[in-house]
Amino acid sequence: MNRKHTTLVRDTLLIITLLLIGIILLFVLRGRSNEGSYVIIMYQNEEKARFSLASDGIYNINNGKNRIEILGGKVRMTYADCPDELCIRQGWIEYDGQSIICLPNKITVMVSGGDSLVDFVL
Amino acid sequence: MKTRKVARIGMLMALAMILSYVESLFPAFVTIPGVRIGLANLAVIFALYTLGFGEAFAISLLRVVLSSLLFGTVLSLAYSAAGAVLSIIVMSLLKRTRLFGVAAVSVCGAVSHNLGQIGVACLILNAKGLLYYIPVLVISGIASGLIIGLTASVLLNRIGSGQEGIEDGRQ
Amino acid sequence: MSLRFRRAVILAVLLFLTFLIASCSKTKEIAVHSEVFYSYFDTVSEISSYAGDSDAVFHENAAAVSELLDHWHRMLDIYHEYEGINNLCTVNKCAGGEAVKVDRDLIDFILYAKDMCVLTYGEMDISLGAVLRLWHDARGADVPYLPSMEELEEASRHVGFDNLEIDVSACTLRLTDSSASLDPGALGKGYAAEKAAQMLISQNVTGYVINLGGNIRCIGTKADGSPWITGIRDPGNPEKLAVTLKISDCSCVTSGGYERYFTVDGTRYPHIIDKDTLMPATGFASVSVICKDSALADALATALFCMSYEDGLALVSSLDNVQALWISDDGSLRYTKELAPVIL
Repeated sequence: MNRKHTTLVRDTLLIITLLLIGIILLFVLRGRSNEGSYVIIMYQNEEKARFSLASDGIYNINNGKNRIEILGGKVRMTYADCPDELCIRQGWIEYDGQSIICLPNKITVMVSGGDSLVDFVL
Repeated sequence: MKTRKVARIGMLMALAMILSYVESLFPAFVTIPGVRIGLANLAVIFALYTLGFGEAFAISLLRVVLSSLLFGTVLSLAYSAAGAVLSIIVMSLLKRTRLFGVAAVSVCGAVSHNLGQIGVACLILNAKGLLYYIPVLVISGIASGLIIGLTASVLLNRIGSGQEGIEDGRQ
Repeated sequence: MSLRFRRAVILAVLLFLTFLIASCSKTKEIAVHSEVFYSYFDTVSEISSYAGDSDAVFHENAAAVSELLDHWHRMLDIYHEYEGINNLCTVNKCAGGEAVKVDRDLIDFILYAKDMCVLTYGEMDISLGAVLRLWHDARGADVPYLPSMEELEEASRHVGFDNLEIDVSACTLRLTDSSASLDPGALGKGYAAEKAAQMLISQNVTGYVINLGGNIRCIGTKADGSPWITGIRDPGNPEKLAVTLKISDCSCVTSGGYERYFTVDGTRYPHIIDKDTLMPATGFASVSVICKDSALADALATALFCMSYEDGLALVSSLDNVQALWISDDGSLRYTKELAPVIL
């Protein structure tokens, strides 16, 4: 009986410890998945500017004709002077290789360089 | 004696396969690979406590190979095998310390199974992004390990760990 | 430690090391080349090489693909004519009049489109031009509106391949109905992508991917033998992925209302028009088709978007090596069972 009791205590302690480790890891590893990623701004096929995906903020690109916002490891187009605004409607992107394109202004905003699993997003 | 042992191994092997199949019928609740109930581990733990390390190891590995061939791909075999091997070693070591009960052993087994899988997947796919699944896998491992462990504990108490259970046939 | 235990641990470690070594040989970094084009098919196209070939070779291949895409872009353009060639815009303009002489490959495209129309029970129909034009104008207006049912029904009377005379030997096309027109939108990108892929394949190029505005056509596998990982967006939550697939040597096309749509009175309407209702299709949030031929994938993706799940599943099942995935408005996912092994 005694042995069973101490075993139960030890079991519970072990499981709780593991649980705590898991919860701590949950907070430690979250939001770091795009560390090292860049937001690359391209005009036609030429790189014009590069931002770190970790630097939150609103940035003017393409001489102010387009504006992007980086927040929480994601980026989106918040302003564009093009007529269709499809680029703004694309919303946030975060995965390596994803891009937002402003066709009329020939601007591509691309996420690149991070560790990522996905080659294409449809 | 030996025949009985072989029969028991066979039975547990079959049980492991059936549990594996039953598990494959459940739809994946979460899109994260590796979050599963781990039903087949019930048979493996039972083997570990009633037969021994070698037999449990064999059953675990064989189960993983067969079910990957039947229900999965060669790649999933690599992941599962790594997980299963790590899991059985961890469980056996923990059991040998004689400090912990079946539930804790099972929990550690389930967690190490998941970690082994994700580790190998990470290497093969060269995707460090997979490592971000670790916390979820630890927690789901604890949950599934606990369920299986408690079930195994109850079963072991009732059926017993000696040969008497099968010899008698009357219990 | 018993002998057996030690042996088992050694065996396990050896197995693990074998896997490690095997996987290490797969993890060489391959240099990926990529080039983007902005002027074809009103979308962004990208050609990428995962073959580990040199810059020079890649640019040569990219230029060849670019030229081919340009050719098809002009052939299938219904809004502009180009000097020196007769394209679909010309054919549409001459509706009700004389036969128009065109290139042989445009005839082949039309014949293929006709076969696809039959295959998809008319759900993918390039002769729907009269109806599609009304929608095009409605979408593009300063304030988008919905065309009236009367207009749509009147336009639907000028639809159908019966209105199109195809003279294969003379290489001419003639629309007999002056109000009829052709609109290749549902098939054009896939067809062009497939032509480009076939050109590369005929030159023994492998490890390339042609991405025509979301119409993916990959050739072979990456240089290390691994497949491409494609994510399909969750229509309800487009920043997230609903599912990821491992694809190699095949095409993947997704039809969905979450990227190209227009809004009238606060309601979103997808781009794809259902020939039965004459209205934008509302059955699914997105449909993806995976099969080798990009043109077939494009045609089916449009058709399946307009069909019921049961009809779509029956059609896909009747074809060889075609897989599909449906995402409904409530977020539920259904797919052909052969797709299961490639879902990550």
